[in-house]
Amino acid sequence: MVKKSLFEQELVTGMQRELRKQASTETPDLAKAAECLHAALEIFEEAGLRSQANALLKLMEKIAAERKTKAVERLIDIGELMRAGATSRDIRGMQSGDLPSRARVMLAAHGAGLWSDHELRKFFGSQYMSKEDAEQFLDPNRNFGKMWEWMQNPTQPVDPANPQPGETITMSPVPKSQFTPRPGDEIEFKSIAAKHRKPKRPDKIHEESRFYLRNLADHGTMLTDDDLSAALDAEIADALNAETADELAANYSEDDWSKWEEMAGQESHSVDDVDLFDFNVSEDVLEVDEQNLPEDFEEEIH
Amino acid sequence: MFKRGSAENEIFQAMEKNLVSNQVETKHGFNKLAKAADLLNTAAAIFDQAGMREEADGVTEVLQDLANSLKVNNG
Repeated sequence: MVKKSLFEQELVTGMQRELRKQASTETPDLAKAAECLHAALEIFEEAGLRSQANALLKLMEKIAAERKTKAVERLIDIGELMRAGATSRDIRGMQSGDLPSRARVMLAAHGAGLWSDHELRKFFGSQYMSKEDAEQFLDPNRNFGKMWEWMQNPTQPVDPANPQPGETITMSPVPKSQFTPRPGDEIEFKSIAAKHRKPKRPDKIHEESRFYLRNLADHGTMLTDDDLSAALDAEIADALNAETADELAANYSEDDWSKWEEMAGQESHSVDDVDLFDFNVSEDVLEVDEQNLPEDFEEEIH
Repeated sequence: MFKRGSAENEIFQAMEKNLVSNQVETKHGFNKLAKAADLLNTAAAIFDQAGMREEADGVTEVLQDLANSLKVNNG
């Protein structure tokens, strides 16, 4: 008699051992086994062991015949392409025949690593481009892209800032909205006159004129800064008891100087304000006798 | 000081040993055959591990055949 408990125990132990064995073992490397067989076959052939070599060859053929796997064709997903870097604009451009878009899509498809060259070639057909070609086309150091753009429109200027003869320049009109102010808009007017233009007011005496007028009143002449240190005329020097204009200026009192400093602080003065100069501004009237006018220029000369 | 006769004798023995082993390897190829046997053993173990009993048996038969042929040649 076989003890039931012992039999059950043996079954449990055996199953446990098998399960542990399956769990611990790694996936067998069949490729390595095939390599081993191939290496052994070569050694047998070198050693002249024909029968063993033939037996190994038959065994390998048998394994290959049994393990034929059917290739599963994977569909190329647009989402995968876009995840790999292609944009929807590139895909649309590729459909319309744009070469740079085609290169970008093909580079993304190659870079995804999900499809073999054969699969990509089969899917894209005539639009297929190898990875090397796509990289070369998109390489900024090469000029394939620029050449393609030029071929699309040869008359377009290569450098818009420097158009060459034969190139076409297009200009768009300035929109009217720039000139037509709308309600609520602020309008700014800019003067087209020169920045340092001095207003010409005949009734005003300005800084420069006042300087000369003061010299004229003090020294009898419109002296400049250089003239002040220059020697005066002998007769004038005797009359004023001063060799130079500077010496003459030194003879004035402090009250006179403060009065002039007040005047220098003001921007402009009307002719009426300059009462210390004792100038009489009179209007000259040009009288023309119409009866005695010469008939022509020659008669006037003679 | 080394004994000159002893050194010469040692060199002679080493060279002779090397020549004999080369001749044996050239004639029989023991090292290569041993390597081939190791390779076949590895392949059989992999097949056995993968549950490919038939292939493992086929490799084992080749190994047995090799052993028999070597036994006949040396005998």
